[in-house]
Amino acid sequence: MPSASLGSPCMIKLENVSKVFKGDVVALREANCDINKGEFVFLVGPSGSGKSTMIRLLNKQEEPSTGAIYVAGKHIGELNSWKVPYLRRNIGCVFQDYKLLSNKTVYENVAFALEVIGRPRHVVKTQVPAILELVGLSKKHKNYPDELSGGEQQRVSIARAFVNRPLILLADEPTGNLDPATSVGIMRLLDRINRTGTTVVMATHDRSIVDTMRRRVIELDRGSIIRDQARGVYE
Amino acid sequence: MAINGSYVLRETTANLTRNITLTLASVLTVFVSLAIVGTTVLVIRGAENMTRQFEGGVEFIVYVEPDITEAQLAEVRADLEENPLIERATYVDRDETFALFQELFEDNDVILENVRPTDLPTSFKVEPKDKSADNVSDLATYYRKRTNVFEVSAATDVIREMKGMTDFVSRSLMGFAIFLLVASSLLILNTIRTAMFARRREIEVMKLVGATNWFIRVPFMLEGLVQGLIGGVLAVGSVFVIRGLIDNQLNETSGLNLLESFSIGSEDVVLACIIVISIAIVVSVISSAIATRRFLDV
Repeated sequence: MPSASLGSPCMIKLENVSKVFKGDVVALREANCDINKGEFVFLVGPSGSGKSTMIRLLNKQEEPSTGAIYVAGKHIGELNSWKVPYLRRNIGCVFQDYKLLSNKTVYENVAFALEVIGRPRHVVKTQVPAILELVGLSKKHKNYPDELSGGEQQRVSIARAFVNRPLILLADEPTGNLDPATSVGIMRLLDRINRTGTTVVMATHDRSIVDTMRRRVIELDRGSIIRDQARGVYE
Repeated sequence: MAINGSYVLRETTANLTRNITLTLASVLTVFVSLAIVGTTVLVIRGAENMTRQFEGGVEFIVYVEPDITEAQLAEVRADLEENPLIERATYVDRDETFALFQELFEDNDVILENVRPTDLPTSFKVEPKDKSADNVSDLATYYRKRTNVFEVSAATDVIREMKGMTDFVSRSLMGFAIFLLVASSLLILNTIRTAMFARRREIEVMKLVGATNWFIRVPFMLEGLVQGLIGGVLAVGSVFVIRGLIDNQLNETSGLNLLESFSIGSEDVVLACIIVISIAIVVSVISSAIATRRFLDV
């Protein structure tokens, strides 16, 4: 999949994508957008506006009701179910609640992501320390998640999402549980990852972050894209 | 894709020990149900062996005295062949008798070493014209009283009844075993479901970072397979124990009687073990496949 992406600058493309849940709840309505390789995009909007749904559609945790989604030039709706894991290896995920495994150390949590996709041991041994260095947690690699602060836990989760060098990093409210100062540190880290050429899509409520970063903003309201602005602000 | 052996080993062991009570419950039900299956196979085979000589219309067998002379033997033969009630009488000579004897007692070295062909009575397999129970019984009684006759064994009502009874017993045991097998597969299914539920966070993360379904499934399926196999191996052990018990019982009651002996040979035990292990594998693989399939759809 990385080779396919080199030809086209378009990393993510949504064509008339709608998502209707049971009971006629419209989470996303006729959404259209193109996101290029290396872009940093904020998805903003109130709770229930469809930000999380859009994120979940991109790594095929949900299927769109209508419309087509292309990731790295591939129509992911036409992907065989056995190929979905290989799609996800190119898409890192970060969540508000970190989703770390409490019975594993920092090192083991990050290594787990490589082990379960069958990476050989020598790759794990070199990649995990390197990524922990990048997120600034080398000294805490033997700690368990509950011994870390929220910001540190989110760094571990980012390390886990990025250790396989995915093309895309999806972040669903990564600063949602963090105080402003810690959030700034997380945003610096995401910015740094974006500079390596990784496309970052981040759903957020955090006005000050969006206003400070001045990146592309896609605003959703009740499932519809109502604004798509380069170098935008929160509203 | 490459599946890391040490990863699979570690995960499978962790799954098996995490919920030890459920694992034990599964293993024990598999064990008990398969022990019953194994016993049933032994009973069926034993009953078949018991009645093997009464095949092709042979209804009773006349044993002559072991130290009989040629002339006396000819007398007995004439007595049988000239009887209008008898269709056919086939002589089983010393070599044939000894071969059959060796087959029946192949696992009993003590007996084999101490018995020579000349110790065994030769016999006539007799096929009467009228095969009704009354007639066979009359004929058997008549020949039992003739000179030079050592013993007469008839496929009497007793043997017929025993055959009917073993049929009934083995059928009931099999029915019982099927219920237990269903119970054990449901238990394996539930054990795996519990293991997967306990590790749902890990499974969620694995799916998100792109682990294949097979990678996630294999440790859980192995868990089921190991449960089935442990139960199966215990059941195989019980098959050997039961076989030993039956042998002891037979040695006490029937001694050297070639007929009416409910004997179980090594090949019957091997057959029972193969059946037990195959069922263990099939049952555990099917239930773990169902369990992992149903809980991986995200």
